[in-house]
Formats: sequence, C-alpha cells, structure tokens
Amino acid sequence: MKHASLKQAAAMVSDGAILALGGSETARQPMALVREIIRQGKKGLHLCGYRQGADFDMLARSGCVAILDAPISADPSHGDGVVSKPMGRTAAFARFEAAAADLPYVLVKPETMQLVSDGIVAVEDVFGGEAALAVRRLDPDIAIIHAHTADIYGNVQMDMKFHADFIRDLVLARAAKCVIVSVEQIVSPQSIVSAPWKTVLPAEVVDCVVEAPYGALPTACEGRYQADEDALVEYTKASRQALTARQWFDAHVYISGSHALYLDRLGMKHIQSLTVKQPIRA
Amino acid sequence: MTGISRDILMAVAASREIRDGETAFIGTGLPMVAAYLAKATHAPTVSLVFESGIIDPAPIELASGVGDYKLVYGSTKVAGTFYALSLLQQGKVDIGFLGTAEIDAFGNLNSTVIGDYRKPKVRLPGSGGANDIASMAKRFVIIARADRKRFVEKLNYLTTPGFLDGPGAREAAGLPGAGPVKVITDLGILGFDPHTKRMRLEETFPGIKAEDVQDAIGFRLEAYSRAKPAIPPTSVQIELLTRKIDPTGMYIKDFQV
Amino acid sequence: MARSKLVSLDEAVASVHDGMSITAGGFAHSHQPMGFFRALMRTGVKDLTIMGVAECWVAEWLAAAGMLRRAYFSNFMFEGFGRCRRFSEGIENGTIEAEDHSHFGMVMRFMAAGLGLPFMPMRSQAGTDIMNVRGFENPSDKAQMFRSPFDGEMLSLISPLNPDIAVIHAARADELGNVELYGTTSVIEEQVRAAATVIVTVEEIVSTDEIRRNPQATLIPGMMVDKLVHLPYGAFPLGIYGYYEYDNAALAEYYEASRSPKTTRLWLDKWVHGIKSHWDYLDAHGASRLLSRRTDPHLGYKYDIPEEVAI
Repeated sequence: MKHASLKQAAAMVSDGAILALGGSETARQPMALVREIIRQGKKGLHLCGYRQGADFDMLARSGCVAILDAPISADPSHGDGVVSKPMGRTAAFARFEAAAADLPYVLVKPETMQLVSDGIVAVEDVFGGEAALAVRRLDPDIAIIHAHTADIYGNVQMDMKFHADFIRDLVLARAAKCVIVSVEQIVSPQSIVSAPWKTVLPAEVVDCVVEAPYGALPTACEGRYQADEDALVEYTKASRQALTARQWFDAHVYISGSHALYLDRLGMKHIQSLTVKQPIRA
Repeated sequence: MTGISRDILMAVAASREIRDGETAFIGTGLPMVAAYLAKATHAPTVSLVFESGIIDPAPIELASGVGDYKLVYGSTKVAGTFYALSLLQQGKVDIGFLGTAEIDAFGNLNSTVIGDYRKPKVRLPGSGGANDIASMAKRFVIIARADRKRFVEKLNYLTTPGFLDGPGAREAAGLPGAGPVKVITDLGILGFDPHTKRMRLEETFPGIKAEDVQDAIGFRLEAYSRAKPAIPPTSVQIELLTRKIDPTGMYIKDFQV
Repeated sequence: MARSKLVSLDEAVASVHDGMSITAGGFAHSHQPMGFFRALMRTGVKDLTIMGVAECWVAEWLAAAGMLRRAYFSNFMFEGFGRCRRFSEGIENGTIEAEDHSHFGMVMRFMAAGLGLPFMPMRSQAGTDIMNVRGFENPSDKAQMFRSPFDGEMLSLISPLNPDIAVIHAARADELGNVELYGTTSVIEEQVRAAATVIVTVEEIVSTDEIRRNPQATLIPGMMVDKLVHLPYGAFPLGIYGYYEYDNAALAEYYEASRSPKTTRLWLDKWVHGIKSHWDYLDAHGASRLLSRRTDPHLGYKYDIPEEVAI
C-alpha cells in the first residue's frame, strides 16, 4: 500500500534531490506538497520542470533550492545561491520525454527562444534535412504531481474530461525515479475498479499517494475549483521584496503547519466560492 | 453450550423465521443481522425492505441503522418512506421484526409512554413503522429480552397491535395481517395459542427451564404441552454472524470467544 | 420568463413566524436542513408546531431551544445514541404537546393534504391507542373507522395535515427551483405537496441545462418550490447522500450535552447563539474536518483509509 501522510511524503524528498513539479502554468501545481517541503526546510534542491509557476517561484524564494532548472526568467530576489538555468519550454519538456523513453536525448526543432547550452546541442539531420537540437535526458529523483483521485495502492485517476490536461504529468511520471501524487480524494479500490478508463497512472509507476483536498490552491484544479486569483496576485506583490516575501511565507506557509490547518484558515466560504463542482454520485 | 451469547441465540432464532423467497421488513439491530444471516444460509432469495426506502441492498459493511448510507450500497431500488410502507399495506411483505419497550400477553406493544399519555413519566420514541408492520405485514416477530418490566399485564399505551384484546379483535379493526407469530427472548422462543391468542412458551434456550421463563414474565403464560428445547445455533451460523456479518460486534454485543 | 427562486438564508428563515406549523425533510442522521434550523433558532421565533415523521434532529433542537409547542409525529429517536431528551422531557413536563401516529399514518395525512382530499383511507393504526387516545387533537378529527361502501371492508380514514412551511435540504437545484436529491427521499414528496410554502436549501446550484439532461433525478419540480437557498453543508452535522456522511463526534457532543437543561444551554450558547452565520458555524468545525466527511464516489459512504501506511 502506498498511502502516506503529507509529512511522510514530503520527507521522501532528500536534500539535494532533483525535484520535478507536474501541473501547468495555471492549474494543478502540487502546492500542498510544496508548502510541506518548504516547512521541512529542505536544502540544495535541484528544482526542475517544463514551465514556470507560483510553485517554482515559492520554492526558489524559500531557501530550499540550489539550482532552478526550468523555463523561468532569472530573478535576483530568488535569493542567494540560486543558480538559474533558463531555457525554452519545448526543450525543457523534451528532457523529460527523453528520460521517459529511456533515450540519451530526443530531438526538437530549433525555436527562437532556445539557447544552446549544456544539455542542448545543435545537430545535423542524419537524413540531410534541417538542423535540430538534441536535448539531453533529465531524470528527476522525485516528481510530485497533483491529480483527482487515487486508491491506497497507488492507482491514480482523473475525470475523463481532463485527461488531455494530464499529458505532461504522464511523461514526468515515467521520467522520474520516484513519483509522489497528491490527490483531491483517496477513494475506495472499488471506485477505481468500477471506472478503469479514468486511470492515468497505474500503481506500478506510483510510489506514494497523499490525500490533499484543494491541494493545488491557490492554483486551479480542472473540474474541481478555480484558481484563487486574489491570492496569486497577493503573492506576486509580496514576493517582490524580501521583507514582504518573508511575511507572506510566515502567514501562508509556516503558520499553517499542516494542509488541514491551511484549509481551516482559508475558511469554507472562500473554499466554496472557488469550487467549480463537487463530484457527486448521480 | 450455556456459554452461548444470548444475542447469537436470538439472532439465529430470528433468522430461522425468515423463509426463502419471502419479502421481509427489517429494522435496526438484531433483525438486521438475522436477515443477513438468513440470506447467507437458508433464505438466499429473501427480499429485504427498509423503512428508509431502501429495497434489497447488498451492503459490504454492516449498517449502523436503516438510514445508514452503507445500506444503500447495492440496493435494487432507492425510494422514499411511502414506497416501503405502502408495500406493507398491499400485502407484499411476508414478515416483519419489531423490538419493544413493553409487551402484553396478546403481543400488543408499547413504544409510546410510561405513565399517562398527556403527562407521561417517560416519553418513549413513538410508533415509527412498528404499528404499520404489526398491522399490515402478513406476520411479524417480536424480539425482546425477557423482563417483568417489559412483559407486563397491562400496557401503559397500546402503540402496536398484537391480537389487541383477544380473538377476532384484529379482524374487527380491519387489520389485514395475521399478527404476531413469535416472541424471541433471551431465554427462549414464545408463540401464541391459536385459540386464546395468548402468549405461550414454545422453545427454551440451552440451560433454561420453563419456570425460568415464566419467572421473567409479568403475566401468566398460556399452558403448552409441546414446549421443547430450541435447536442450538450451528457452528456455521455462529461463524457467519461473528466473523462475516457483524465482526465488530455492533449488534451481537455479548459474544464471548 | 420564469423567475429565480434564489434568496438568502436570512430571507428564507424570515418566512417562519410565531405559531406556525413546519415540516422538515430527512431521516435518521440524514439530509435534515440543520443549517436552516440553526439560523431559525437564532431568531427567537416561538410556539411552533412540528408535523413530522422521523426528523429527530430538527424536533430535538427546536425543543432544546424552547421553540416547540406541539408535535404531530411518528417517531423521534437518535439511531445509535438513544432518546431525544429535550423533546421527550418537554412532553414529560408538559411544555410540549404530542399527537402520535405511525409512520404511515403521518405519510397518509400529508398525502391527503397533497392530493386535496378530506381524508386518506388506510389500514394501520386501527384498534390502537394511536386512534383512541387523545393528544391535543380530538380522536375523531384525526382518524375514524369506516366501512367501505363498495365491499363493506373495515378501513380507517385519516384527516389531512397542511404545514404552513416545509423546509427541505437537497443535493442540487437550478435557479428555477428544480431540485435533485440522491439516496433515499424520506417523506419529502408528500411534505412538499402538503405544505403551503416550500423552502429548499441545496448543496449546489447548477444550470437548468444540467437538470434537463437528467430529468428523472428531479425530485421536486420548480413549480412546487417557493424559496431556494444555496447552502453548502446545509445538512451538517448530519449527512447528505452523495456528498458527506454525518459527523459522529458532533452528534455525540450534542447527545452528551442534552443530558441536562443546563448543559444543553451551554451547547446552544456555543453552537447556535454564539455563532453569527452558517459559514462561521462551518469554520468552527474547520474546513478540513468537513472535507473529511466526504463520501466515496462509488461506495456512497465515507471510505475509511486503512490504518497501515506502507512508507
């Protein structure tokens, strides 16, 4: 059985680990896990991904990260000792595709914003066509992903309507050595078995599942809740300066020592105002 | 054998009253485990009806009450209270099970008040589906531990009809069901004299003598020469009850391993 | 163009005045409109009559708050706990009057009212003190024996009950008041037909298109609904099928408090009068606790995650 508490799951992230985050720019960022990782005071993380997002930003400012390896513009306020490795989004994602396919690299078309750097090399077409970029594989030690439901064995499901939104998470899960998935609800094994087509990650590729309702807040979760736009704006403003950033972290990460407390402090009215639709058994 | 749990004796006796193919109206408590025991043994096709409006559930965990959501699982129909109760009136229900605060010699029950109705010493919960089941099920069974305070000469209030005041009374009131057929106590099983409609001892549980039963009853039991020891529960029945149906002892409370 | 039935909770609660008769939907520890009644308990409305079947929590809390004068009912009992103490003691000390029925008797009274008939024929209750012993109603006003004119069969006839207000908590509705409810539906259909005014509180508001996609899930059509309130967790601490189960700890806390009038008053101060709004009440328990009561989408009840954790 692979069910763990949020604390236990975050404890699986060692100092210095290569940590990848799933989700998208606006949705299903694994925020509950990110907050717990920050609370546990991890050090020297090599944070990688295929996008930018509030989650990357928070980790970068938290003191946990040594290397920020995602398509994010460098920002001096990320704090001392954070080395940024900017890159284009296509190459950023291709690294994981290579690892998922267990290939040393995959080829991508050159794009205007793509910098040639270590891990990205221009290559000729062996068939004599246009030049391409070879993107070296990146194998995360740990990938953390947020989804709709899972059973205690680690079978993870998404509502059918949102399978397309999960494509990049799928690749990340296959690229990573260890996969931790937080879900809106841990459901019965019968629930999984009664709708097997909803399964996006079978138990074999999942190492740990954690129940974290509203665990993507303040980002959205497709089919469950909208993003908390006010909270994201508040974070963006606060994060510009070290003092206000520290106050924001105290108020939103450290003071809520658990995801349960975080939810209690948000309050039901606010949570309900963001909720799109409660999944029901009709 | 005298160490056998009273709850098990009562549950097994109750389950034996259910015949295969029947429709049974079930309430919370021992009737629920008795019904599932019957379904698992000699009455696999019994159809169960609950006053909450649940028809024929197939729960995978024992429900804590007739309104428990665990009991909705696997049901073939989910409706309202009217649907379940109207089946009684139509004569679709073969058997019902009732508990009670007080019972008299004619199997009439009280679950309404102790003392005066308008200013009672103790106000009890009220009829619920009991009066409906007793009035309209083809037959019904009472499950109640033997106690002089429970088995009384005169009820404080007649909530639920057994034979009312004697032969012919049910018919005069237009009650369609045949009335109570058994009273299952922790000491033995009682029935009703077909002529006088008064309660009589029919079977004793292990280690119990007829006098023990009369001592625990606050009215004179009708004589019955064919009273005999009850068939003890089989090991299969005990196993099913304690391991499969009610493993946490929700209703079978006094089981001693 | 049909108008929206949506109103605020306060506006819906303001429909109830001193001396009115009310009926509430629900059963056992399920789908009774506790959010509505907590708000009502804060208004100081009094001398209410409850016309109920088995809506034990509504009856008990109204009795605890001293708002109940009379009860037409069948059975009020807390499954798994014990008796409704404040309600029962109210009858014992004469502050609440009772008129007893069987379940089916109460259902038939609502049905007679809902069908616009002066009585419904039925077979139960006959020959017992439910028919013969007076509560606050003349026995002959409540029910009478009757010989069928067609075949001479003996039946009883029971008279109608028309509540001023029915308060129902359900799953979803559109703004026009088309209401869906899942799981068992208790006596709601009959209560809604019998009542003069129907108030419904719901977990979710959905579009009319959503309702039209699955019309057989509609329990109450909009034309039967007068006021609609969007009230998430409006049954809490009871449950509602498809959403959440009841909170046993919260129910046990009330059951303990109900042992004496004094501890009941403390409970009321803490959970009713000391809390200004429905959201404050929910937050007093905590969002995480409410969310922990969610039911499993397949099982229909709360799935208990097994204790052993592998990692």
